[in-house]
Amino acid sequence: MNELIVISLVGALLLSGCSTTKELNITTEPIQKPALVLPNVDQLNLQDVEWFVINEENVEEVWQRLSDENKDIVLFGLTDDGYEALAINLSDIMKLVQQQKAIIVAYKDYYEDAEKALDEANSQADNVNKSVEKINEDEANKKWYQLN
Amino acid sequence: MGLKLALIMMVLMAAMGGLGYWYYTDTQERMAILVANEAKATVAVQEAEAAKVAMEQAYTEMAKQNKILNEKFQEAENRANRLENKLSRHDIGVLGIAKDSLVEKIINNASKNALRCAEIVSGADLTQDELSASKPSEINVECYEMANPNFDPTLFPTWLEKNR
Repeated sequence: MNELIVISLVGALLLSGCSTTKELNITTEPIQKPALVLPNVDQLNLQDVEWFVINEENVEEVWQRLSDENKDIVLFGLTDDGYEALAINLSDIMKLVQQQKAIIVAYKDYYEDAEKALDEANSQADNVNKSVEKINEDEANKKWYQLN
Repeated sequence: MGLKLALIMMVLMAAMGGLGYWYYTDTQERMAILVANEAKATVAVQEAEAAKVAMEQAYTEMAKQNKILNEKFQEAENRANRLENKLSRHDIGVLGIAKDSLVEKIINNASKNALRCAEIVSGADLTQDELSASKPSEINVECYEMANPNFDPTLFPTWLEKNR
């Protein structure tokens, strides 16, 4: 009889003790990066440049003009091809600056908007977390006879 | 004998009762854990859903920024091309010999405009004249896309054709 009792108890313990239920833990913690604060670039304030067009016929007139305007009687020259090359080079540099500026603006807008979308997603997740925590608390506070 | 049997029965009943109680409480605990797990799994699904939405938004934003960037690149390209076309249309060497004063005036104006374009690219505020310019005679021909936001070249097809 005693053996039967012992076998029953041990059997019950063994059967129920083998199964375990692990608690699932999910933690989500968004890491906030500090906002990047950078100074603006300097604004250009360029000085005027004066061009003189000199040919065989007006060269004396140009020297006279320089003299009348109390400027040094000297000119730094470019051929027409040189002038065109200089204009195109300046234009290409401008194009590069425009492109770089557009890329910086695109990065800024993209990250600011992405940040906003992530904030919204995080806040949504927070709300869900809170409601689940509330459900869990309610479950924990339930009396044994209320569990189903 | 009867007392012994009763005692054994009592012990047996107590053991069975204890076992029943333990089984019940253990089951309830497990049920509570399963309820909590289900809730957490729901959160995980919702968070994954939110992350998916955030990713989709990021991709949409990326596409939008790429489109804007391409437009800006095209604008810069068009401006540079306009100058190259202009220079290739006119032989400034020949013009400089024939009409030196006129060419001098034109290239000084063009240089002034080009330098102003560089200032605008660097972030300079537009002047009131630049903002209100809406006719070809009022604009900065070198970079009207940047300098004259109220100028619509499509309203002046002849001018546009000449300045492509």
